[in-house]
Amino acid sequence: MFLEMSWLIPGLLFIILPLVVILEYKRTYLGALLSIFAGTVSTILSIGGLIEILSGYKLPPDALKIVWLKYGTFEVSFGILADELSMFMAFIVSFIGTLILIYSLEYMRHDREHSVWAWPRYFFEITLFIAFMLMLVLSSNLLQLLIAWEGVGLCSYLLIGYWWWKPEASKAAKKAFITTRIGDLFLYLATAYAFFVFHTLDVAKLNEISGSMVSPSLGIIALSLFGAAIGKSAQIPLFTWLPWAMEGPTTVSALIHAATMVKAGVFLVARFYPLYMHAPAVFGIEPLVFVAYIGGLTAAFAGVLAVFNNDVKGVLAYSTISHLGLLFLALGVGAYTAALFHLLNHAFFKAGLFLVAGSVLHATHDLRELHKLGGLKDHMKWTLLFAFIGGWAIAGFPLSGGFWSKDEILIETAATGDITLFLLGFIAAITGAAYTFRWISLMFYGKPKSKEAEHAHEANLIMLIPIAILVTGAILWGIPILHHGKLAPIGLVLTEQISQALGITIHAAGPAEKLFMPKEVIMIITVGVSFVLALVMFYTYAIKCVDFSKHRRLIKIQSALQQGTIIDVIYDKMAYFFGTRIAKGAATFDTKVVDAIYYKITYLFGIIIAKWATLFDINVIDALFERTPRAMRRLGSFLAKIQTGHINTYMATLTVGIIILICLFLGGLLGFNLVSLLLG
Amino acid sequence: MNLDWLWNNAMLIVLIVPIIGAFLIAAVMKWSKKIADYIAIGATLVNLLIIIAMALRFDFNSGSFQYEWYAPWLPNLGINFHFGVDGIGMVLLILTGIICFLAAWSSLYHIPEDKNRPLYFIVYLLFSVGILGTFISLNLIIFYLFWELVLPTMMLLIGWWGPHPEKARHAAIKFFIFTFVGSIFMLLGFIYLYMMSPIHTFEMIELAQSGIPTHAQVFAFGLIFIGLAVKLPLFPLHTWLPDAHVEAPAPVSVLLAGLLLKMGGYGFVRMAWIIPHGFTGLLWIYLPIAVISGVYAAIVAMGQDNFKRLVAYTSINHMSYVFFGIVAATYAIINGIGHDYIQFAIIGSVFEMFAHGVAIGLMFLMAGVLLNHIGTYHISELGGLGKATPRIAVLIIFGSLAVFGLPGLIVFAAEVQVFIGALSIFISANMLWTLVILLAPCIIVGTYLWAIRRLIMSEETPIVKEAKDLSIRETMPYIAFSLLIILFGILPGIITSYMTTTVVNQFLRSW
Repeated sequence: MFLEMSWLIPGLLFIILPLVVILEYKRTYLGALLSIFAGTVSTILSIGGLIEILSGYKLPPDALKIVWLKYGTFEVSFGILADELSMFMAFIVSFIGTLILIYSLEYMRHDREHSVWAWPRYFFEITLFIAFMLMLVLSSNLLQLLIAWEGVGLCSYLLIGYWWWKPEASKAAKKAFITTRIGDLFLYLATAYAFFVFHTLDVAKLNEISGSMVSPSLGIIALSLFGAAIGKSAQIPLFTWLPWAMEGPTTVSALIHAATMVKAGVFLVARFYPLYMHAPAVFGIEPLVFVAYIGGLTAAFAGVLAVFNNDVKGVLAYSTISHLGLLFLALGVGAYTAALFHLLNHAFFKAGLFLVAGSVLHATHDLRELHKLGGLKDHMKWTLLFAFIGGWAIAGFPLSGGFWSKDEILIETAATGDITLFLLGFIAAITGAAYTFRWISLMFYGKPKSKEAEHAHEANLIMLIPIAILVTGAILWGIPILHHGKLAPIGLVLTEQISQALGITIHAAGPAEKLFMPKEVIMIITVGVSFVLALVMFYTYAIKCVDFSKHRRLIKIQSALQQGTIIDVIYDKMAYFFGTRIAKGAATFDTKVVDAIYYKITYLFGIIIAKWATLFDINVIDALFERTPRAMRRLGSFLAKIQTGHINTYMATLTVGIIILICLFLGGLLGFNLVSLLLG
Repeated sequence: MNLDWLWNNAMLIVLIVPIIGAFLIAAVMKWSKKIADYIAIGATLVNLLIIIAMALRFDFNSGSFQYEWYAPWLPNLGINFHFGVDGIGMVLLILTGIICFLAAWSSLYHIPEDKNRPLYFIVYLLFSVGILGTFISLNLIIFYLFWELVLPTMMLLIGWWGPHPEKARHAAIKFFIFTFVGSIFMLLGFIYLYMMSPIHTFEMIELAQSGIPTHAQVFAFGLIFIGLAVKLPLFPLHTWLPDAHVEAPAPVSVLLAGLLLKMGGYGFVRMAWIIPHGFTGLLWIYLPIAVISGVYAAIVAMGQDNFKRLVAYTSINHMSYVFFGIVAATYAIINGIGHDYIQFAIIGSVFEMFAHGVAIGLMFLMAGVLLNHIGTYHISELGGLGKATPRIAVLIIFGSLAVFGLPGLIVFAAEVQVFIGALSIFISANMLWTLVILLAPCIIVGTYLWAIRRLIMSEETPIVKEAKDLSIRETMPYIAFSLLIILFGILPGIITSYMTTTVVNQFLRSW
C-alpha cells in the first residue's frame, strides 16, 4: 500500500509548491506548515514503504512509470524505483528534511520580520530542494536522476545565496554551482556512455545487465559516475566549495551540506554498486580502488583541516568532507553495509550538530569565530547536552551508532590488507574526536570572549526538539538488539537486511583473512586514541582555557592549513584568469580581429578596388572613347598631308611598300619552313 | 460543414493572413494607431491558432509531407510553388507561430508609439510571411525567394526601429551584406544541384530521391554551407550577429534569434536529408567548425560587458549545437551507426532550435527591458537589480537558468538529446571533438552565474536606484515565455513526437 503511493514521496512536495508561496506571501504561517505537513507525509510513506519492502512485498517493475521521450521502439521513461536502497535514502532525506523545516520556523523568524518575500522564497526553495533530493534517490532512470541531480544543485545555489546581498554568500553560491557542475559533466558523460553501451537508461536494467557482462566500458562508466560524485560529495580535488557553502543559513547547511545533498554522490556509487563490482580497470585504474583511495585521502586530509579550523560551521564542514571520504572508503573496500550504516549515523549526528551550531549562532547573532565564543554552558544547558551527545556519536565513542559503523569500516579496510588505506581511515576516525571536542570546548567552556557570547540565551522548544530527536537517533542506531542469535546494533541490522535484499555481497577479501591484527585490537586502539585526543582537547580548551588566538605558532599552523585550501585559491585564480584574461581576450579578438577582417575586406572592395576601378574606367576605358575621335581627326590631317600630288613621292612610297611586302613574304616562307622543321 | 478545402489550402492561408493584416494596417493607420496594434497582434494570433489547429490535426504516423499545396510556375525548369510540412517543418511552424505572436505582443512595450508603430507592424508581418514561407517551401527556388524576402524586411526592422539610429543603420547594412553574400553562394549551390541531379529539378523531395553523385553533393554542400553558416551563424561568419542584436529593438532581436537563425538550422536539416554525403565528405572541416563555434562563442560571451551581446553570443553557442548534432547524425547515417542515436541527434537538433527560440526570446526581451527601464545594456553600469527591481531580477535569473540548460527546463531537454546522440555516435571516432564541445555548456553556466552576480547580487548603482520595476501588465508576455519554457521542459515529448516518424522516413530509409 505504501509502495503504490511512493510516487507521492517527492510528488506531494512538488505539488504544494505554488500553494506554499501564495500562503506564505499572505503571511499566514500556513505555507510553512503545509510544507512541514507534506514532509511528514513523505516521511510516513517512506518508513511504511521501507517496512513493506523489507517484509518481502515488491512492486511490478513498470508499475510507476511514465514515458518521457519515445523514439520508435526506444523510450525514456521516468518513474519511481522503489527498492530497499531508495526507500532507505528517502526515509533519511524526508525525516531529516521535515525536522529541519520545523526548526526553521524559529531559526528563520528574524528574516520573516525583515521582508515579505523572505519566507515565501525560503520555504519554496527548501521544499523544492527536499523534493528534488527525494526524486533523485527514487529515480528509476539515469536521465531522471540527472535532472534531479541538477535540480538539487540549483536549489543549493539558491539557498547558499539566500542572503545574496552579502558578497561572500553570492560568491559561495556561484562557487558551489560551478564546482559541482564540473562534476556533473562526468554524469552527462556517464549517461551518454551508458546509453551507448546498454541502449537503455533504466537504473534497474543497467545494474542487471552490467552484472552479466564483461567490458572495459563498464570501467569508464564507473569512473565517470565517480567523477560526478567527487563534485557533489566534495572530494579531493573538488572539495573547496563545501566550506564556502556555510555562507547560507545554518538550516540550509544542516540539510544540504551535511545530511542530504552531499550524500547524493555516495548514493550514486551505492546505487550503481553492481556495476562497480563488475567494472574492470581502465588505464590501470581499478574503479573501486580509486574510490577507496580518493575517499581515504579526503577523509584524512579534511579531518586534519577540521582540527585547525576557526569557524563554528567550518569545523563541521570539514568534518562532513572527512566523513564523506570515509563513506567512499567504505564503499571502495566493499564494506557496503557499513557504508550504509555510517551514512545513516552521519546524517543524524551531523544534522544534529549543525542544528546545535545554528542554536549557538542564533543566540550569538551569527558570531562565527570560535575564539570569540566561550562560556555558553551557563546559558545554553540543553544545547550543550545535545552537543555532547552528538559529539559522542561523531567521535565514535562506545554505545553510539557512530562507534559501530566507524569500527566496521576500519575493520573491513584492514581486511583488504592495504595499510595505507587503513591508516588514512584511522586518521579520519581519531581526528573526529579531536575536532569535535575542541569545538565543544571552545564554544561552551572558558570565559565568554565577546559581548555576544555573554548575552547568549537558550533556544526555545521549536529549535530544541528537532535537535533532541536527531542526536537521540544518532545514539539509538547503536543500541544492540538480539538478531538471529547475535547481538548487533539496530542500524546494522537494518542496513544488513538492505544490502542482502539488494544482493550485494562483500566482494573484498573476507574479514580476518588479511587482518594484520585482531578485530578487537583495532577497536580498542581507535577508541583509546580518540578518547585520549578528546581529553587533550577538553583539557586544553575547557579546563586550561588556552586562548589559541594568542599562540603565534598555532595561528601559523592554522593559517598554513587554511591555505590547504590553497587549492581553492588556485581555482579562484584560474577562474579569474579565465574570466578576465581569456574571455575578455577572446571578446577583443572577436571584434578586433575576426570582425575587423570583414571590415578590411569591405574596405578593400568598397574603397580601394572600387577606386582603382574608377580610375581605370576614367583613364583607360573612357579615355579610349574620349580620345578616339581626336585621334581620328589627327590621322585624317596627317593623311591629308601625305596627299601632296607629287608623282615622285607616290613612286617612292610604292617602292618602299613593295620592298616591305617582299620582305614579309620571304620572312613568312622562312618562318613557315622553320616551324615545319621544328615540328618534323 | 466540410472544411476540407480549408485544410487543403492551409499553407496558403498561413501565408496570406499576415499579408491581409499588413494591408489592413496600411488602410487604418492614418486614423487610428491603436487599431493598427490590435490588427497586428490579431493577425499573428490568428496565424498561431491556425498553426495549432494544423498541429492538432497532424498525422503522426504518416511521416511524409502533409497539407501539400502545389501550383506549377516554371515546370520545365522544375520550379513550382510547392508547400507542405513534415514533422520537422511542423515543429518550426509552431515555433514561428508562438514567437511571432509573443514578439508582436511585447512590441507594444518595446517600440515607442511615436516611432511609427503601424509601419513597424507592416514590415513585421511581411517578415513573418518570409519566415513562414521558408519553413514550408518544398522547392529550392521558392525556398530561396522567401529566404530573400526575409533580408530586406529584417534590415528595415533593425535599421529604422533600432534604439540608436546611427549605429542601427550600420548594423542593418552589415547584416544585409553578410547574409546576402552568403545566400548568393547558396543559390549557386542550388543551381549546381539542379545541374548535377539526374532529373534536373529544384523539387526537394525528388532531389532527395534522385541519387546525386557523392562528389557533386560535397561540392554543392560546400557552396550551400556558406549561405547557411552565415545565417546560423557559425564561426568565423558570425560577426554580423552581435552587432545586429545589440542595435535591434528587443522584439526584433527575438525574431532574429528565435526565427531567422532557425532558417540556417532548418536548411542544414534539409540538406542532411537531400545531400548527406556533403557533410561527411568534408567532415574534418565541418566538425571542428561546429565545435570551435560552440566553445569560442561561450568564451567570448563570458568576456562581454554588454548584456545583450552576451545573450547574442549564447545564441551562437546554442546554434553550434544544432549544427553539431546534424553533422553527427549524417556521419552516423553514412557510416551506418545506431538507429536510436540518429534520432536522438536529429530530433535533438531540431528541438534545440525550438528550445533556443523560446528561451533566448525571454532573455532578449529582458535585455530590452534593461535598456528601457534602466537605460543601459552594460553590466558594469548595472547592479543590485535584486533590490531595486525584483521582478526584472527574477525573470533574468529564470531566463538564465533556462538558457544555460537547467534540467527540467526546455534547453536541457534539447541539449541532452543532442549530446547523448552525438556522444554515442562519436564514441569510437572523433571523440576528442565531442569532449571539447562538452566544455561549452560549463562555460555558459559560468558566464550566466557571473553575470547574475554582477547584475543582481551586487550593490545598487545610481541609475539602478532610480529605475522603475515592470508593471504586472508588462510582465505578461514574459510570463507566457516562462510558462512555455517550463511546459516543454517537463514534457518535451509534445514537440519531439512530431518528428519521430519523419526522421525515420527521411533519414533511416535504408535501415
